[in-house]
Amino acid sequence: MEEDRMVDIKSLWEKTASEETIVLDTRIMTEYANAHIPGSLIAPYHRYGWGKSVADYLREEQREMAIVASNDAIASAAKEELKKNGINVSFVISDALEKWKKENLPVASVSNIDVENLYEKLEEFQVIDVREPYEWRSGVIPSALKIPMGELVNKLGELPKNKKYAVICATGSRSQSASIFMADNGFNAVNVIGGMSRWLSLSLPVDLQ
Amino acid sequence: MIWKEIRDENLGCNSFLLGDEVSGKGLVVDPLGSAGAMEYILTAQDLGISIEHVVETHIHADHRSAAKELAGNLGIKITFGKNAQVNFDYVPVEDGSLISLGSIEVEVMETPGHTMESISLVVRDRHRGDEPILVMSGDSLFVGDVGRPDLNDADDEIIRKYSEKQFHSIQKIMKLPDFTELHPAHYGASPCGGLFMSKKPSSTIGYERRYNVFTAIKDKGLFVEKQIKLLKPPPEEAIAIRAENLGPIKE
Repeated sequence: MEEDRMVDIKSLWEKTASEETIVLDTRIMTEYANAHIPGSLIAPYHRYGWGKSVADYLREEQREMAIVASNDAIASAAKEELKKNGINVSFVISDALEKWKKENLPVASVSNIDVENLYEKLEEFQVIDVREPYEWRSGVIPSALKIPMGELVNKLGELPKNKKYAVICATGSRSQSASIFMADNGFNAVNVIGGMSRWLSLSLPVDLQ
Repeated sequence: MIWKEIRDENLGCNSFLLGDEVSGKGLVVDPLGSAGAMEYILTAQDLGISIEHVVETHIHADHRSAAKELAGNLGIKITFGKNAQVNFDYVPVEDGSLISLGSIEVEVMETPGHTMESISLVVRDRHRGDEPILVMSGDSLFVGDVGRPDLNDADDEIIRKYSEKQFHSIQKIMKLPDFTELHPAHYGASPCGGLFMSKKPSSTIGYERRYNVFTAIKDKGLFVEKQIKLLKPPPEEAIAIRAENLGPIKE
């Protein structure tokens, strides 16, 4: 990767904050949730058409692009894939978050709560069930708001920001990106790990449709 | 639970990626040199897990391991059974050591016999139940067979001692419930197995309890006699491969 311009993390922070640079985070979802550069895009790298789908999404993008990866191997693979699809990457940062934290730059993160804990503290949270309507037939936590993932962006304005939200789906995967999305939009949101499959397997109370 | 097998069909080697999709934590067991460290890194990324541990069930004498390269790439140390005599730093584990990957729990069982540092890994999916779902038995218990005791040292007395250890290790593994899946490090034509090794890469403890000629032997002496009678020549290059796998990490 000798052709990469070495970027010092502070100037990347400035470029990102001023929206001069767009940051594509290729790490897996749980690492992203754990800590990420505010405003960076989630795009976990995989070997099944990742480059094309990212390139399609960023086709009109004029800004310089930076890639965040958890190690050099993924960074090179992701960069190569984007190049094949006509997208040039200006900066590559592996071990990004370690460097980022060393500089004391702000990171965004979403914490997790497990199902047992959520059940104990249920009255502290507004639960949002982001599954699809057909999935609600298996049972929904009685106090939960039902907002399918795809509608969350439209419903966000209706949600008060002074509440604590616990986002749940079937297993904790979709709710992870939903809770990150909410957190990045100024909500106090946690992700429920284990999801409704865990809730139901513990026979915790649900409303059946 | 995330489970992925990466094999070398030619050498009859098995390696595994295991993880928890919810916490994103994962580990690799016995990574193969023929697949290469990159394959494990990219597969883990495809599966949405990060590799937090690289575990070797034992020092391999039949194939080159990717463990040093993989662990080096990830900036972590290899995990070995506590008796491993290797020329680099590793994380030692012993009977009862637990490796936690979110709701997936890996318990170490020391199963010496093929080598002194051999371990088996008992896996529980705590989200689903408290009983073991599978065991990765390294070169201890195979499908239809057991691991040979002669690749450390060609001395007859030492081979006999290792075979005795293997007897106890097999008895220990056979305490697992019948439904436990069995995933050894080898299958098919691997030189680490013997006459009875199946071409099938996996089995269950229950099936091996009924149909593995070695688990049926309840007498240590008879077990040792049978193992020694069936020994075949060691794999070509065994000494060189073993030396490479336990040698210092190259910078």
